[in-house]
Amino acid sequence: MVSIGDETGVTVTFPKGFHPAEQPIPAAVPAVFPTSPNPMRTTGPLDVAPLVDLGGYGGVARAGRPPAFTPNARRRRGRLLRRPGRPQVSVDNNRCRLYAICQMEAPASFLVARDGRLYYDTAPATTELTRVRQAARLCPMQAIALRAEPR
Amino acid sequence: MRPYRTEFTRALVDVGRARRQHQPPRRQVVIVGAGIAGLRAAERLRERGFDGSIVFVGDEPHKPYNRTPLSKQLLAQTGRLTDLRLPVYRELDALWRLGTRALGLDLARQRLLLPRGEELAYDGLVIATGVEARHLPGAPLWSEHVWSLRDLADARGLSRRLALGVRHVAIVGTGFIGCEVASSLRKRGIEVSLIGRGKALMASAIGGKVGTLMTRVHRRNHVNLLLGRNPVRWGTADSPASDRTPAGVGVRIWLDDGSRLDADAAVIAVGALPAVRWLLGSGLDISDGVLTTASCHGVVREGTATGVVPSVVAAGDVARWPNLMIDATPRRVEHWITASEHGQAAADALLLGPGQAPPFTPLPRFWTEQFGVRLQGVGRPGLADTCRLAEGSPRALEFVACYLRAGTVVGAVGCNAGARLLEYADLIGLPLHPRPELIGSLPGPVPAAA
Repeated sequence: MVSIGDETGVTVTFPKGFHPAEQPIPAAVPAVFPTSPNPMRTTGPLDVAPLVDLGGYGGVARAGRPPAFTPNARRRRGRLLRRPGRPQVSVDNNRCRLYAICQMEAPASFLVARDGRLYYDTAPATTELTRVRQAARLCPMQAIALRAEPR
Repeated sequence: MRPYRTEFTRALVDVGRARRQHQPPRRQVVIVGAGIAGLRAAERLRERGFDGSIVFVGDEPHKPYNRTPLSKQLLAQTGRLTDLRLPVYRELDALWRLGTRALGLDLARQRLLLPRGEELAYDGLVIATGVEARHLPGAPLWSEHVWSLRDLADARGLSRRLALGVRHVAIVGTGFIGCEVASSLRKRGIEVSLIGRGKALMASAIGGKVGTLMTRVHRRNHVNLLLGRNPVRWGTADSPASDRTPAGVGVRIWLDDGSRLDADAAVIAVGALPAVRWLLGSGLDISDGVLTTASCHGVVREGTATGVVPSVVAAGDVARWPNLMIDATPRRVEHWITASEHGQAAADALLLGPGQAPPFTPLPRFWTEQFGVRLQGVGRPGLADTCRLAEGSPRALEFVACYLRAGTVVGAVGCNAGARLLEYADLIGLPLHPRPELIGSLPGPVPAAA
């Protein structure tokens, strides 16, 4: 038995071998496919519970209508939003071949228009950053560069 | 205030002490294969907050690089070596065991077997060894005039050979790689003969109709097309006397229609086989790639009994898994974009465990550019039984074609179509002309009347 916080008057006792991170998380949504040898286990063998939605691979992000192309509002008013640490997006025009993979991954930040041009948001909102990063990863021509503003 | 503060600080110290006492053991993830899928898996693990060690075991002496320019920009001499760099947005802090071939896997003891009897313990294993170029029986691969194209070493060797005054190259195989190599070499002014089994180029991937259009593009660009023919006999300078080539001829190929072809070099691009030989005897199901569940976990097969291994996931070209978006048949997908997404999904699956991991249902996407014609596809056009022109004009080489199987869309291919293809990507799993009530339930944007 281990007890902590004796001096504060509040005593919490844990059985030996207990760790809060190792306790099963009750919010378990069982998947139909595949079947697991131990379906009650909530994490894999690494004991890291992935809690953040990092935007996604296939299908997951495509549920629902994709958002419209909405470049940064302040940028539209003519002022470039520059903040230290926030990436600045640029696309190499000599490389881009308009495969529109970026539009599939981050529809709010990239648009391949009917006029055959790519329109994009140079300073995407923080909420869009995971998708923009995924677009840069999956770009077939590797034309998208994310450069962090110097601090 | 003061005594409270002291007590509070002391309690914090106690909490820290208890935490250290009961610290969970440090975990280690081993990623076999330093390719794009392995790299994305490691990146995703770090993004998810995995703070254990990550070890890459890679066959090649290079860190992960982009293979896609090898057959296009690098061979056409329009790109540079820096084009092969891949962006990584997270500090990986990994251990790189490059130039090391994995020799075996001990599932029961969770050990990876390395050369010289070394064993590497893992808590999670990502199998991302990818594919190896398929060999053609009888082809003299030892010759300096005969090449296959898979990795950077192949591309460098082939480029070096081409720089030695090669004027005519024979390419065996009419898949994506073969056609891209033909386009790149024609751009450099090298004569190209393309030998293929089928009647149309890339027919297994994009179907006969679009394949015929691309055949026309190649013919217009003066590619010598030898379709419907197979090489049966090969001759080089080192061959036995009957097949030996005269001076000035690099390689001589006899085809099954009786004709003979002399070339300065030959490129063999007849597809790829999964690199799973090191998994023989491990218990994993490795018939045509590592069989995994829909959520990337490895499957053990003993006789008729099967089991899921929670600590082993497979990603990339080597994995055979059922894409539930298309159907429940496990298949391998050899697309670069899918490999990236697969690595990320495999990392998530490793963290979540087989009970919780969602099925990996990506939209397969591929692209190719030949003679300035940009071809890109979504879904699995190769599975279709019918191909319909959805919009545009094939004559102008600007169109979208939809691929249907049993009345529902399984894929779409766009030719110089840009973002027009995106509307058809959302139709996958639906009929080509869905009824209005179906359109209402459609998750994606409403397609324009085709």
